[in-house]
Amino acid sequence: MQVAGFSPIPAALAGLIVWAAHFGLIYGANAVACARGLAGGRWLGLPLVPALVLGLTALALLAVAVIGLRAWQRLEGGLSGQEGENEPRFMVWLTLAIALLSALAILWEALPVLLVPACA
Amino acid sequence: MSLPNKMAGVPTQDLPTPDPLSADAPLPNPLPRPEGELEALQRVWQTPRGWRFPTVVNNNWIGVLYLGTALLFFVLAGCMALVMRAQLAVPQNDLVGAELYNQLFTTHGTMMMFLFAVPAMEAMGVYLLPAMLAARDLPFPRLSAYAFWAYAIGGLVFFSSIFYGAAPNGGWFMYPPLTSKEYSPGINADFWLLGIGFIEISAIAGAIEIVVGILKNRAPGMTLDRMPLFCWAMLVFAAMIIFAFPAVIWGTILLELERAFGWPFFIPERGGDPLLWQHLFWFFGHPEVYIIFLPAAGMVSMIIPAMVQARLVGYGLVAMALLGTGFLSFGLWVHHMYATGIPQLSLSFFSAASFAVSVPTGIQVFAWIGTIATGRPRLQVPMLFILGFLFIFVLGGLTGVMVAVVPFDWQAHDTYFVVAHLHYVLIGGMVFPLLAALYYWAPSASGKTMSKRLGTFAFWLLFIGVNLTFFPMHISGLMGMPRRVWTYPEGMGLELWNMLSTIGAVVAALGVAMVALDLLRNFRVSNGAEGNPYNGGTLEWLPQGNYAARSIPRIHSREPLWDNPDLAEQVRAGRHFLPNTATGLRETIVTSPIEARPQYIAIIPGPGWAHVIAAIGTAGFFLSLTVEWVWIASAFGAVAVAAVLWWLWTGTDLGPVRDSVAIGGGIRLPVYVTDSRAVGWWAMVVLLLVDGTTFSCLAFTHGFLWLVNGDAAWPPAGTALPELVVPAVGAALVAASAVLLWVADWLLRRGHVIAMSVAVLAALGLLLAGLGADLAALWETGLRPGAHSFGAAVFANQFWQGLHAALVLVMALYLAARAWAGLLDPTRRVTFDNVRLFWTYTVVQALAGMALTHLFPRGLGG
Amino acid sequence: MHHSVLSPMGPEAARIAELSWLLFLGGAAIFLLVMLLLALALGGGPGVRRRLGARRAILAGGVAFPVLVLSALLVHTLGVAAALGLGEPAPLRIEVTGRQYWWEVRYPDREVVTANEIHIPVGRAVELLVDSGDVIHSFWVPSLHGKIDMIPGRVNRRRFSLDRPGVLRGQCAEFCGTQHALMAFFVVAEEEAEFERWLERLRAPVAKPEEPFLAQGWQAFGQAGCGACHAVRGTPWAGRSGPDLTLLGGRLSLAAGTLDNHLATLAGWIAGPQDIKPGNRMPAFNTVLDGPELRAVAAWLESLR
Repeated sequence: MQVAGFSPIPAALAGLIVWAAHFGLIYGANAVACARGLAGGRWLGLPLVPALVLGLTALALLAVAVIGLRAWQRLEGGLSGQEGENEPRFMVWLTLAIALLSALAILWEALPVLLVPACA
Repeated sequence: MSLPNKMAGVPTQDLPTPDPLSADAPLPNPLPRPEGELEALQRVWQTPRGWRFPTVVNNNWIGVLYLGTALLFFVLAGCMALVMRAQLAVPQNDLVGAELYNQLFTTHGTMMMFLFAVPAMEAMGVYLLPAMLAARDLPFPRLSAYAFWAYAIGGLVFFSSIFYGAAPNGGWFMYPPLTSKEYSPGINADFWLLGIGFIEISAIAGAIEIVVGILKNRAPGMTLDRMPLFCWAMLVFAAMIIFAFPAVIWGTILLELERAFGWPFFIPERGGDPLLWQHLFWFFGHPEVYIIFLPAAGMVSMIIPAMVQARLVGYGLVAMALLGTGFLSFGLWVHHMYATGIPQLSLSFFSAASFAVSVPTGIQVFAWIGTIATGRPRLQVPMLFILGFLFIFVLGGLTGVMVAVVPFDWQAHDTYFVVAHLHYVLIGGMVFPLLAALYYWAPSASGKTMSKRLGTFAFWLLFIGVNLTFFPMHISGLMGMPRRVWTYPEGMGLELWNMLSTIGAVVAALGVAMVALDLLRNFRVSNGAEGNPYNGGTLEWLPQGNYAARSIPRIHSREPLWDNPDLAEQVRAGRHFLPNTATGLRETIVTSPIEARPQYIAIIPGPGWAHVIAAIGTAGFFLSLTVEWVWIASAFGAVAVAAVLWWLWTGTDLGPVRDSVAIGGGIRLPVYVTDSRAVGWWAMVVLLLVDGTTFSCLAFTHGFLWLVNGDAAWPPAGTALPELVVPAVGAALVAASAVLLWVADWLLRRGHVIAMSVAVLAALGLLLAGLGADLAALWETGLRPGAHSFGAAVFANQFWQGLHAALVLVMALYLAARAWAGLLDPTRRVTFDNVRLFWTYTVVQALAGMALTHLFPRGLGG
Repeated sequence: MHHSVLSPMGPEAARIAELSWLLFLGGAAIFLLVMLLLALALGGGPGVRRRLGARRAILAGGVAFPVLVLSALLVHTLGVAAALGLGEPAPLRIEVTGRQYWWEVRYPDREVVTANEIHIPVGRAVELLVDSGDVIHSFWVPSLHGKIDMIPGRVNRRRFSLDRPGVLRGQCAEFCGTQHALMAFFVVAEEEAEFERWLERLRAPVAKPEEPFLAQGWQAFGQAGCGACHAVRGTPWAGRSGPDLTLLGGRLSLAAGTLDNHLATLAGWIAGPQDIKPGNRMPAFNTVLDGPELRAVAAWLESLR
């Protein structure tokens, strides 16, 4: 008999939680940069906003990749489906699928920074 | 949030082998069943009759009443739409004037959203979930009943405001400054703010019930991946309400504070910004669309498999899609603000998020098509409505992608193109599935199917009518017709399209009338309905009494009725778990959230007046505030609080009425638990999520107003904050109250109940002193809420903290009274635990609030 | 008169119209494809139905296809959006302030003010700056560009130009109160020389008329207090809370697109604006001015062209 935990639910949602954090941060960063006239600045030799957004995107994708890979390994590691409350196979699969969806959303949201000027 | 071993269900060593939940184990309970067992169950779950009927709490009844009321509002708001279509049938018509037209469209939108769509879905949840989960009822039936009564009373009064010209006229989106005191001096806007504000609270009450019910009241063995997709959809639906509604409630509070007391949150001359409202409103408003759509999608995923007699293809993908949609839809709110002048790049983020959210929807559409392909489609009435849904919804979804494209939306926004889009999505995505659900599940309540002839006729009228009404609107919008106009000029080429829309509206209305006729002729609630006319595979098709299923089946698959043809008979004979009333009271099995292992038996309250009176009091309070009858409002408020306390005192925290009870299969369960297994604990945690989200909106208000005002104006010149010493002392006092509460816990564990109550009251004193010191210090600096948005934001924070202090005050006194009445002891302590949870949250929130007031502006200056 | 998204009069509107057609045709194709698949699922042959019912079909139709199409669309639309963005400030600036329920139009570099009608020289890049004097309005001329909100406390900008002469109709697109529906205006696209002549006339001070009937109108206009809200260039009347009336007689409409502009409608409007457009800010003058005075005021105002 396994421990009756709740943690697989937030664990399954981890990818989307990363997405939400990324989304909030890039939107907030651009809003502040434009409102405070910082968008003309540079960071690491790159225009500030694109550099910041791409940096945050790289971090977010890394986090999602770690979440997805760990889930993948656990699925490949042959979960029998009888792992009980803490690690049901379905929840691990869900973690992976959600990580993939989140990665897509993060990628799409970073794309505009390459094509659209920050504050115009 | 990770909850360690405390959550353990039945300890391993107590378990007989084999696992009583496994398919190999014998059925949990033997035959024959003891004499009188079923009769006792029936007696306990009896529906009150005659004049006591309003005290009913059973989900069968509340669900049907709830849905009936929602459908009534649908018809009423639809009639308003007919009047509007009549007005717009020809150009320069003067059937209704501008003022009445503006009230009509505002009330139509508001009612459809708040009084029809969300309540209808909550109603379906309340009605269907216990049966689908094979629970006797949801864990807090009086809360659902309270939510229903508050909504029904408040909604009817809100609707009637159209008859005396007091209906809101600023649009369902209520943008200030149009809705500010200056431009809307009447009470119309207050009707919206207060009338709808508390219906939102009722929606949250329902959402808490649904989340806890789905996570904690599933039949043993119904793991998350065996849960019907409707339950997944309702879980996401309720979670979204929990995170979306606080934003609009907070916005409503700010706008009402501005209107009533002149706190300038949205007035630019005094440091406010109208866009603050738009952010808060749409942070709720966009998820709202998916809040309405997801339960409908869940219904479709239930109805299609039954209609084609095949299992849903891609169950996991659809569950993932529901969760994904739930999240991503929170990244779309600026989608409604493309024309407000927000930087292009920011708009593009939202454009991309709007694209992302269409992927999970696509997954669902193809899962449905795939399921139809694998089965043998039967064109019965529910299936017709499902096919109509697919047609209309896919079209609306595609125009949704169009309006997500920023440059196109600059043209389409606020035109009839958007009116067309949103009605395609909402009627296609919600009304058609709801009608399918009505025809599909009606037999579960009434025992017979509705008329196929009338249903088919209604379907075709609705399908043709809806398309005829709304398709031409795409064209009139592109031809330059804005939304929310009471008339339009001749000679712009709009005549034909508007006339077609009006004719379509009449046709659709006839379709609704057909459905109503069918309901009147063929729908009667009958307890103990039987039969499974569409051969559905899920548990709501088990033979049902008022107590739901006679015994609670153990579950091994997603469609138990298909996989075990004997299940219905076994359940009826009482061979599964808990075939009786083990305590002589209403009860249900509480299971663990993922694997649905039995944890304990929760006692469920029966009929009563307390929640009905509380609902009348709440509705009366808000409605009398609208018309500024302050004294009458106070009286209603006092009645509501007293009724809630009575309800809690008599109906909750009953303590261990028995040691433990056997439910069959060798499982003995406690009837009272105090830790995180308890449903009350879950409800409190969910409530705190609502609270925390609201506080985030408060913090956002500070950050946003700082951003628009500039660093130098936050605080504005001439405004000084108190020296840090005073708030530091206040913060220390507030924190000390949490420490003292910890002492109280220690005392309670040792059985020193009276000493505990003294500690609690002392902690209350510390909390109030700390918050009071902060307030006094701010007041002494001369800071006032009316002068500038900085002061308004600071005092909005104080208002929110004060509200919590008042709640803690009531809770502390209640706790002390329970202690003195001998209703609290080291075992019977759920009340204490829940108060402590809320109190701890209040302390953390108060400290965060002080940081927001005192440290945030200083940090900017540094 | 142009008032449709699909009849663009300038490059910006044309770009959006082109994008719209792409969206409509693409959307229609996808809609038909999905409906075809649904029909096949209902009544197709066993082979087709087996393939549609496979998990792979969900991944192909629900994931791969939308990801490909939407990625391409995203890149394309972001390109369009970037091209429609604000570049360098354009030489011709026009400021428009939305008010319940009319439009104040200013050419700050030319120091002229007018109302409910915007003249624009064709082929010139224009920078539009919009704000609001009361509640939120939205500036929308479908044949010109997408809409832009007019929000109190903020100034929003848009850049556009027009290709050819013509009259474009615009309308408030954000619900702004009782008479939101009757808040329209016109954009007159004209050749550069004609535009300069119009500016010239607008700048010329209005003198007291010689003709006695018109002079009576001038007189009555002053006595009735019209100048408290309205301005006429070069006269003592410089009120700003109502539309500027210089060149009123030459405008295409009265009361922000509500009425045709001629003597009878103008006299009727002055007499009872609350009957024609209830809820607007102008009081009725049929109690202040008698019949002949009303006609004289209207005649004088109509003579301002």
